[in-house]
Amino acid sequence: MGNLLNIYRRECAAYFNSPIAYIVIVAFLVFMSFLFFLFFGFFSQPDPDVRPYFDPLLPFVSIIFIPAITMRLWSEEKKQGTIELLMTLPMKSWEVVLGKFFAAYSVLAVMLLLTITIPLSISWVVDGLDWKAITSMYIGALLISAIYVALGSFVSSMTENQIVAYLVAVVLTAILCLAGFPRVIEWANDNLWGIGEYFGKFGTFFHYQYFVRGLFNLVDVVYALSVTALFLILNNVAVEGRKF
Amino acid sequence: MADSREYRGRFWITSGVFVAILVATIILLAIVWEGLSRYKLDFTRDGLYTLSEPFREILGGLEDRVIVRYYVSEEVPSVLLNLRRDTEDMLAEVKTLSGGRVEFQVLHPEQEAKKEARRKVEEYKKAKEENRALDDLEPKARESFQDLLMGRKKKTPAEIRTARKQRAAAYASKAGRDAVEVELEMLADEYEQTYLDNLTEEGIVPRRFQEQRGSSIQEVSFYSAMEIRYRNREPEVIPFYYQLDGLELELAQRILKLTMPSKPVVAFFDGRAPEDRPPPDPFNPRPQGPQSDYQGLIDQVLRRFFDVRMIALKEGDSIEDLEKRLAEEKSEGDDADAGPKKISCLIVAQPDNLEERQVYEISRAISRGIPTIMLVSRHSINTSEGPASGWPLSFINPGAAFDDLLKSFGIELHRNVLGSNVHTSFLARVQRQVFGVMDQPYPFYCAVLATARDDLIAEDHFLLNRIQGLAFPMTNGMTIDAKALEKTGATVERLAWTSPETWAVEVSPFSRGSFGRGASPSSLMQNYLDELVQDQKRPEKTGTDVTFIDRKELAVLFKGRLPFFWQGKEIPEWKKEEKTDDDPDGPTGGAGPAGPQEAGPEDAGTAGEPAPAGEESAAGPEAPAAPDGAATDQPEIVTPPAERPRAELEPSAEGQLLVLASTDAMKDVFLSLQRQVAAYQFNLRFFQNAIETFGLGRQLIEIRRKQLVDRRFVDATEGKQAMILVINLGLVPLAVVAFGLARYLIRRRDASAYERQMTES
Repeated sequence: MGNLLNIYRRECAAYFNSPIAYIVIVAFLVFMSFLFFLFFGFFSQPDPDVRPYFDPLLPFVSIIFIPAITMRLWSEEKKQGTIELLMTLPMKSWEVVLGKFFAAYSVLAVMLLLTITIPLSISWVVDGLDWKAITSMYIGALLISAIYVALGSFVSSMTENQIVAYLVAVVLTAILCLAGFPRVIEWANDNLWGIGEYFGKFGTFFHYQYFVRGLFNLVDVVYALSVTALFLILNNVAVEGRKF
Repeated sequence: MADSREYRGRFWITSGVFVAILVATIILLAIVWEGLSRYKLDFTRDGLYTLSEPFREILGGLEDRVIVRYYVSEEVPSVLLNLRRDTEDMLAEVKTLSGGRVEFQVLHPEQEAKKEARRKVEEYKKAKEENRALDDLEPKARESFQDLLMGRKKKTPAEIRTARKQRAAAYASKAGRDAVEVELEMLADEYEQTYLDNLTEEGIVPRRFQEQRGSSIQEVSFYSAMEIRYRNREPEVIPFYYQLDGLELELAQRILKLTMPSKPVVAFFDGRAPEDRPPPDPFNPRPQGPQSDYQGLIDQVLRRFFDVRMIALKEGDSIEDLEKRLAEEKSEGDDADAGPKKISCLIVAQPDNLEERQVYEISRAISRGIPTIMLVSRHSINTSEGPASGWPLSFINPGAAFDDLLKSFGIELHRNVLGSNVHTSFLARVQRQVFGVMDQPYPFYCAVLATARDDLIAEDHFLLNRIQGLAFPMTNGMTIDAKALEKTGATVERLAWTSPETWAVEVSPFSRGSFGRGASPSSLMQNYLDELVQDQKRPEKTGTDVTFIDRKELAVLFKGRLPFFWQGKEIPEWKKEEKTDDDPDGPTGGAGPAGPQEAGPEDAGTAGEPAPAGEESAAGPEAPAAPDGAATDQPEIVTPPAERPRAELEPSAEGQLLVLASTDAMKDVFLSLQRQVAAYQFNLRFFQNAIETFGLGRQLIEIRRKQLVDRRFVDATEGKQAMILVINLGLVPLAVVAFGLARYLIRRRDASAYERQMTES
């Protein structure tokens, strides 16, 4: 546990000591606020709801921003050759994997939690905001984002090129997310022998949409944790496998 | 080396096992997701997705697939932006809870119409190429209102085809296009229109909205309706809706109705059926009216959804007789093992001069748990003879026994007609004999209105789903005695009541109308008219004192163990019809065809003083037979009347009684004013809601409307909006930058200090 914490601290410091975390966070906040308030015209909506922020904005924006956080996790170590040093340290590979994961996840959590100013500020002019549902939306966003972070970390462990890691992670995250998107499910049902119904349930968006509706479903939580764990194990296999 | 190999092996196995377990878990979750997703927490404040337990029961009990087609336009007006999304969410939840037995499809009618048109045109082209008959493929000919009025003959498919061809040729030559191509385009348009017309026929009609597009305002047509299909039964339609709060109830209602083995039976008793009405003016004979003041309601509305059985509440045609007949009938529909039919709802409309036995029958039915709807008042507009009659006011006397029955529930039906500042008015066509017959419009003000806007109806009550107001013409209002109610052990739910600005108008049975045909609305309403026009009943305008009456109930629902008024009392006998010269067989047991023949007075062995009416024999199915040995040759021995049996009944705990304080509220003549007065649309919907809810069972009653809280902007001034933008687009990102900068500066300072320290040391 001590090793995990050391790695976590080191990685957090690496994020916050370099401009990367700040650039990503600021870009995310500005981009999301711009889309939500100006592009979609929040103030001209008849039903002033915070839900469009979480669905569809957040998943699509996350596809672009989360890989930007995770791309450096392992690729940088590989490129700089520090991974050899890291792996020879007296600590288990899963401790390193988890430490890095939690560090990247913390950046993401900070990023998401900073968006709380949006519902808080609009509650100034909107009567009847459903805070319980908003809580569910945040929980859903955090749980599903964990999958993307784990996926990004895994992809980063496969290559030493950060750009490749970023692009591959964007593509895989998009596939994983969109597989559960209602329109995609509908399309797959119509054009691919009705498989959309079954394969849609593997997509993150399928589960995420329930959180956004305000439904806290144990199955969706188990799904998010299982997929996150799966990518972390694959990450561990990729890292540890290098040794053999 | 061996350790390393062993470690590698262990690592791969462990990792493989974990990966396999997780993959299996994810696959398993995808498979059982629908089943497990019942266990969830609804975080929404309004419990939007928490379907009520009764609805879950209904969904759980489905035996076959129910298909819900949600017709919604692709282009959603901005005022209804979330409607489609929320509806889809709710349907997804319904599908989940039904274990997939409820399937839903989202259809965009405009696009579906185009798709259908393309398909049909292809089919048409193919048939034409193969020289097959085209008549069956022709789109349906549209009939204009003028065509119908003029009685024009419907066009044949060949005529339609020829006309289209001619139009296409004319247009093609003008536009320089290929005539066949134009003809096919026209055909596609017709197919498209036919598709939309078919939807309209089913009740799926779009609504128009004004929508701002850039600097102009456009009219947008928007569909939002549902069609529910089950097996091969006629589909049920939820017409245009724009609020989700009552959708669960409506959906449950439709699903229950569709999946029932047969139509619910409604027993309808009209206390003023033609034979019971006072004879018309012999000097001014009018044409025969319909069988009942409610005939249109019965035939055109109720019979579509219910199996309506008219009963006369006479011997041989009583509630019990109807039940016997129903028990003998087999259930219709495709469920052969469905149980025997039973009365789902009893409607008692305008009870007038009811005899004791009739009231006994009604009371017994209520206490046995047959859901009952009563339309009661002491006044009514006699509409049976049309506008020519001058719409005379008629007095209704439900009878002492009926009044006592109402009192047993704590209901006091008032004597006077009510007037109110919250009212509806319409122009009635009244015929007058002034230098010949004149058809004169007359303002008719006497319908008291209970609206949601004025907080005069229990808006969230399940019976008032989507009801914005109810009209009560010629109402007397009721008062509910809470103490009497307590004794009954039943509960009362007040559904509609009068506004604080309501007054009573005394109407004398001896008052005459202007034209000598009883008290007409003209005479009765003249005061109203004066008072309303001159604002005499508006103290805030006139500054005068006005005496308003206390709140009166207009509609109440009783639920629970409703007392049996005749408990322990002697069962009253059916009233005997008097013997007439035309009736050689003497008095019969009743008017109904199945009425058992009763013994004549000579059989009763009462040669002395005649027995009082109703005591000639212990009539009724419960009455014991007269002893055989009653001697007719010993006139001095007077046989004491046989002791009548006493009524015993354990009231059902599931009794329901809905009382509306207006007999006119559901009469055809008022319901036909729906276009003029919207409240009558709601009257009809309310009545239908009530019968359906009663007829379809307990579960519906327990489904409550959701109280959705509207989100809305409050004081969203431009300054505040700008401030919110500044906070989120400027201040928060700047704070992050400032934090990063501060951290960087601190780090640089620490690094410099460290460097300096190192150099110095």
